Amino acid sequence: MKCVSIKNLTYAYIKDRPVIKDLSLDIEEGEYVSLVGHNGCGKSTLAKLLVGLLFANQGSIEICGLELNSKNINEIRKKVAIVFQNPDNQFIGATVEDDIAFSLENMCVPREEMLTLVPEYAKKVGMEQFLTKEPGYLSGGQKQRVAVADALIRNPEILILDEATSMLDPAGKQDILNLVKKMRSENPNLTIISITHDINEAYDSDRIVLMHEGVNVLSCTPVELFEKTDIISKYNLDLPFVIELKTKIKKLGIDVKESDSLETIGVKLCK
Amino acid sequence: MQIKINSLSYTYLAKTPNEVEALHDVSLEIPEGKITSIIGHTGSGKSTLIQTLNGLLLPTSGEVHVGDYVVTSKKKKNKKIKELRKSLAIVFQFPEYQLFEETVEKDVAFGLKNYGVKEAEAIKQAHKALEEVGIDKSFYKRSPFELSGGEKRRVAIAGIIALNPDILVLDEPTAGLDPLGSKIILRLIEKFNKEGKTIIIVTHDMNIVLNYSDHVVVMNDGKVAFEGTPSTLFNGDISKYSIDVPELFKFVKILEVKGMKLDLSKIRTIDDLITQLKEKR
Repeated sequence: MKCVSIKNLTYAYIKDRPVIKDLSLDIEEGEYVSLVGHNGCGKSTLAKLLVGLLFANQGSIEICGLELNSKNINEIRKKVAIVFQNPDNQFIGATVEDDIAFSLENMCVPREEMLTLVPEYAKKVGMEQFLTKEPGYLSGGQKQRVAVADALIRNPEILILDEATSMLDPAGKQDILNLVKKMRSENPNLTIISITHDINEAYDSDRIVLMHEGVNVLSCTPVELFEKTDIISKYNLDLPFVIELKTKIKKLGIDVKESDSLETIGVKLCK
Repeated sequence: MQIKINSLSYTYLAKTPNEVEALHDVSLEIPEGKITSIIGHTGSGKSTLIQTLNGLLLPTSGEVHVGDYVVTSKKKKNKKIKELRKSLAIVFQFPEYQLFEETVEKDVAFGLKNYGVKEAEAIKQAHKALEEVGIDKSFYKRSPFELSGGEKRRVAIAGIIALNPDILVLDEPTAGLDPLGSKIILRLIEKFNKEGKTIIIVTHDMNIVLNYSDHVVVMNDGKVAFEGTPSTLFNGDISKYSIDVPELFKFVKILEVKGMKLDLSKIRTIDDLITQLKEKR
């Protein structure tokens, strides 16, 4: 089932200078899609259009069968949660527990439920020790973990991550990625749209959509993308380490296969 | 200019119920003219440490020597702090959020004017700094808010470079940039280093540590956990600092376990490894 259906979408911040140009894209329920492309290619604008923070000049967006318009916006926002890049721009509550409870309050969840839900989700993101702390005492990574808890606690159908891990340390980042994986295995219908520059992160997704100057130029599986060396160099994408290593070792005349692990390559090299 | 840190401690909100000791008895020397990376997980004290270097935070105890300048816990003693901040300048995380002026050139000139440089001269020096960071002339009179993320960051860095500091400290200089934007910034940092500036980079990106740094400092729980070269660091046991080993070093270790002898100090990229593999074949 189509979860997101974008048809001929155009959006311009300044008249006649569109940043999204006649873009069409379908995303299936339960799919994990990475949006990649240069800064300024329209990825974040697209994310804002998907949650109705911006409204398109032309074209249409359907979320779970509902057309995104001012009449349906409240219904749609219940289905879509977004985590932005900068943790400071999304901390609303006075303390961590207030912040996590904020969206539950908006959804009129009874207090008793909140009292169990808030610590549960704080624990999921490893912030259970900080429930009563104010944002000023948290580091950027810790704030971002709270933001992820804020998004997940609403039990959304679509989770948009707009470079949500780019400010976290490796351990924090891995925590969040593991958490997203866990959410997906618990709820296979959860659709994830991840905007990222981290090619190793994109490598884990079902599909990569490459954007350039407001258009999606390519949509394929990570493995298919990394085989297209012309595209990789044209759009200045990084290659995941494993792929780059395999390509370069092949040139030494060693037979390296797609499925070979680092261990196997090591054995072949040491022969 | 040499940086020497003696028994530095820093406590946020000291003498309140909320006090947090962010740095504990840190002693450290940062080599002159080199690129030093400061790493460590979130909350390990990295950002606190760099803010004490030019007295944005005054030590709770201990002191920081930067050339002839001394930053101590006693406010009155830190008289030349404004000069120090010109010699040791910090580019914060997401510096583009600090852009505010009407035009790119005015924004870059702002810092200079704060140091008493006259308008016309400041604009002239701003142009020079913008040229250094590779911002095209056609942008000079435009609003900084019309630029892309990577361009904005270069404009923000130009504002600092215009002050001509001897030591440039950058907190997460490539965070949030696309791969091309990151490369441009890193090449720029290398260029500043070749021109003689001491560089300190706070980062989570182990590839910056491996590919660009001469020296690396690992912070853990407000203390210095390691100091040395990147290859020594990644070759040792670092799991306890919650730092990622770069994939390249994970692979090199597999090769070593299988009995291959490699010169680790010369491996910074896949190509370095391939060169050594070729020599062996």
